[in-house]
Amino acid sequence: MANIDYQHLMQYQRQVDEGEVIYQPDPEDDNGYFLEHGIAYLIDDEALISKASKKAACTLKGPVILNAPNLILKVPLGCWAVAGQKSKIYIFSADIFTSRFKTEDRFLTAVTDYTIQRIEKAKENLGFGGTE
Amino acid sequence: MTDKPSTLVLERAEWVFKEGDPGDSLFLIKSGMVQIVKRINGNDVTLATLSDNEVFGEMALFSDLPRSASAQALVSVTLTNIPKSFIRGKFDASDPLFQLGVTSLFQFLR
Repeated sequence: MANIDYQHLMQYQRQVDEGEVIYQPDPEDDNGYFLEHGIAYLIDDEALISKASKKAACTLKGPVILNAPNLILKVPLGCWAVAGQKSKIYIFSADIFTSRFKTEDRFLTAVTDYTIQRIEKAKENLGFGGTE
Repeated sequence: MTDKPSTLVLERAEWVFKEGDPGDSLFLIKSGMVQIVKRINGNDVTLATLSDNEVFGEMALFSDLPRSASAQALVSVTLTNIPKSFIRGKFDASDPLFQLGVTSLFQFLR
């Protein structure tokens, strides 16, 4: 993964500071959020924003698509993402990712399908349950 | 260790792998049931019960750490044993955005 070029995801850049909200629940927001470097926390309660590092339901480390399950499952943002440090967030159109998130290999398909199922069950509090 | 997927048949109560074993492959259940068990405070705790078409041991794909839990056949089971090197080769050859998506998803289950 070290030499991969993510320029396709780097359409719009936003600088965030530690503790700043990157996104929040929003049924209208279908963008993707890419963190190339740094840490972000996902929380399921707005009251936890200031305590995100200790109360995070998920701690994500770049390079990572912060809302990858939302894009794949086509479900709206259902949680808060909070920057763990000063970082750059890249915001991209979901189509760029979803049109390329596919494989012909049956084993990789099995792994990804099952991983998504597990996320839906284990992280329902983050809004990943209930696909279309 | 073979480089290609192979079929593994186990009888009830046989272990697929045990906690602490090297994580050198993942498994797809073709038929039967498998329980994932972790030793916690001296007791075996069942974390999950899996059946047909479900995958386990997949964390081995991106980690060199030993198995964090054990897997045991609950009934006679038929598994596809997919060597890590085999699936890593396919993964590394896939679209970079697919790779990023998969590694992103795995972070949600750590």
